[in-house]
Amino acid sequence: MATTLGHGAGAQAGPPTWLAWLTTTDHKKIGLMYILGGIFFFLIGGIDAALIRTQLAASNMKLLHPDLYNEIFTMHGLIMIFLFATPTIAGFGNYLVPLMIGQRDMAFPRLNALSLWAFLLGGLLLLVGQATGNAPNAGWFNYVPLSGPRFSRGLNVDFWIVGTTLLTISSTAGAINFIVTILRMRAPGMGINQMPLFVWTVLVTAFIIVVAFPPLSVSAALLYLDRNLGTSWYDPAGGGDPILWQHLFWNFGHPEVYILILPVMGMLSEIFPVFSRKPIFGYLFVAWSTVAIGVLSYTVWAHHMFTVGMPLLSQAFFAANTNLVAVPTAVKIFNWLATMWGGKLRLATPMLFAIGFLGMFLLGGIAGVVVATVPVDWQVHDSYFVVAHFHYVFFGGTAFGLFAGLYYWFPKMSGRLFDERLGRWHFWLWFVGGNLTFMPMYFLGLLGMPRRYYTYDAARGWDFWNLVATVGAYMLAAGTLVALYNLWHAWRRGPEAGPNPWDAWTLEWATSSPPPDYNFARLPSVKSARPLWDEAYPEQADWKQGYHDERL
Amino acid sequence: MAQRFAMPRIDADADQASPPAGGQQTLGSSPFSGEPDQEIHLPGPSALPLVLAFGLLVLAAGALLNYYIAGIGLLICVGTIVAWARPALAPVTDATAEPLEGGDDLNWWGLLWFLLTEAVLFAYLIAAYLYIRAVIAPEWPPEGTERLHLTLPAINTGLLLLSSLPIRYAGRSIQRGQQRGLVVGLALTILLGALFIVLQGYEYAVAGFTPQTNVFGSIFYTLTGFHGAHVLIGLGMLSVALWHAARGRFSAERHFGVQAAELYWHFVDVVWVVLFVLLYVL
Repeated sequence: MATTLGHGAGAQAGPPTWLAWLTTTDHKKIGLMYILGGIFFFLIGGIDAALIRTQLAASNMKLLHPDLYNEIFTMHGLIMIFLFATPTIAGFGNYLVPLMIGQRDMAFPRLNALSLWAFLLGGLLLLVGQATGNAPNAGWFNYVPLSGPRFSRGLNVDFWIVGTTLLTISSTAGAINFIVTILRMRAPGMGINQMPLFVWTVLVTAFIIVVAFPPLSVSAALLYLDRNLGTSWYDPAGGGDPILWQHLFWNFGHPEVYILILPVMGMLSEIFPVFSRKPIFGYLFVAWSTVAIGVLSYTVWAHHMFTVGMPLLSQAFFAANTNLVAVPTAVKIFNWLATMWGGKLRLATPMLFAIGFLGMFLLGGIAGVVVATVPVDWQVHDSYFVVAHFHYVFFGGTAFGLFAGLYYWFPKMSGRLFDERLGRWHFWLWFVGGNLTFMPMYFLGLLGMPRRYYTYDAARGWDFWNLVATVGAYMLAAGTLVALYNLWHAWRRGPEAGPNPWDAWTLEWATSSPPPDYNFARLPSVKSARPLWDEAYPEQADWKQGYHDERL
Repeated sequence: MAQRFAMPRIDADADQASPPAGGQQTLGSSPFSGEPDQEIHLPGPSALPLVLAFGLLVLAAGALLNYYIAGIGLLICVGTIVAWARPALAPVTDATAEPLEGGDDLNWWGLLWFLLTEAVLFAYLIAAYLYIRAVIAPEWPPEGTERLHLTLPAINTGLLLLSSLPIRYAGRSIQRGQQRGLVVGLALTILLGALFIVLQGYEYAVAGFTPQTNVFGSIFYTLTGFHGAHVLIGLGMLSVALWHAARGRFSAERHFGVQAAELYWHFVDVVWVVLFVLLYVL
């Protein structure tokens, strides 16, 4: 590789102290703290999951107190969505976007730091709630009337309200920062259709956040007023309506699903080409299918509400829109397959996780089309079928993709190489364990097991599949420990990675690993979406071939 | 910055694309084509973000436990925000003064996106109100609740609409470098805004219902209260701008603080007109 680095541009000015980290405005330090925080919460949420699975391993178990069980499954959902997936994605965005667009930092570095601290302190607040027995306990989507003043008297639901509000501030500030950074601070020559696809997905996700988090804030604020000031927004006794909560919440909740998957799809769109040694197939389709999913994400919220008694016409409307989402999603999947087709595949750990994503996400996505069919949903709503569906999508999709990204960019962030053999162990433990955990849940749902139940009777015949799921969950825990050991060990003692260990093509690989302060000694200037390819093979440069050069 | 970034094309373009030396200097670009179009100065380390996040945490803890604690949290937040806004308000008179974070242009973009989320917040509040009124409520206002009187809110609407004149006057004055017009315009706007708040408080005091009466009361106080909070934030921005304006810290070239306060004030105005029509007239 002819690439060299902006090394030494103030990177080793002084040893990093705690004060430097607390006052930093550097997008890389902020990104790392986001990711480490996200992984920390992933472990807490994972412990919650292990407790749930242990409680459900056999019929009539009494391992946990029922009240504690309510807190644990609520916190599991809250943590995995708000404190693991969202912030870890924000962390990757923070770390990578400025590097990928050849920039020194985000548009508003101090606002960026505020986003980080609001996330960490908000997460801490929720943990304090859990430690003091005040954890939210009405499910992660916190339906009224259960969460209203009549049925939830303690502080538990109030912790939900103020915790999610802090995280909303964090996400919204971060999203505005991403939009301005990506639209106004790209390297000279990087037109919007020369942006790396990960940057595309972060941009679309940021748009979604700006419009989708306000309904969450509104739903939470109105619930706070109902609980603490005695208003009647959700209370039929005073003329309010509990279904209003569901509409407001899912106006946030469903776009949130895409907030959690689109950036991960962006990561895969970086990984598949590099490990297939081919440019992405159909760049424009991958980019603009992201926009299509973003737009559609607003038109499907009520498919969470098929059983509340809406008019059939609106049910048909939301079912049809939900099925439409499958189209741009399939566009992406076919583009990735076509990228791999005829390529020189290199099955390193990031690529294993990316391919694993394809299988797992498909098993979840297809079930999504199934439950979008109204009569089917009437049968399986609030059963383990739905739990299986969204865990295939969140775990098999978001978590697999995030770990693909973590393995892919770990050498950039740490300057070290991890152990491939342990990486493969992690992959197989997660792939087998994931299917063992979540496939039985499809069966259990069809057998009629409702979600959130504390325990069940032996006569139901649910024992076997529950035990299988619990065994699978322990495999997932084992895989996670292998991954943590691998990365921790690599960070301390791994071999030097060099600037570009994967022989990749985007700008983050043009600077040293880890990059110095302010990233680049000189701002790069680009002509295509693969500047390092152009540099290595000037004769066959992408911009000469017309790849990715389609103008708007 | 002795080290060279060794991508050939980058050096070839260095003359037009390279910013002044120093890691904190960089370039902004146009949204679609990615052509460089402005210089940007990045800020150094700062404790303000952590302090502001801490203030938010105290505010949140106060919302759970005790409203006095919430008040302390609010004070920490306001103080931090005022300190944060300071460098952006101060004009750059010489090379040693601390320059803007980002450029005016980036700040402007950030502000517009912030206002978009604010607008969406109001849109969902209004949608919640209309949903209850159109889908849930059998009659409106509910039985036993009197209709809202129009006189006071109409005067208030007039006050807010009127206040957009002096704030525009202030903005235009500083664009031309006229300090006096800036101060007068800001002061007049603050006066009219404060009067609005006083009259709103009077309306609350004489209203025949409370937030607890029924969903009608909940809707009325939530929507007007949420808007009133925005008026107070706007008044805070205007007051900080006035404080700096009285010390001559804005110039014809550097006055983003005034622009931000003006745009925010217009936003609050427009939202009020929508609320007035939907809550009182409809």
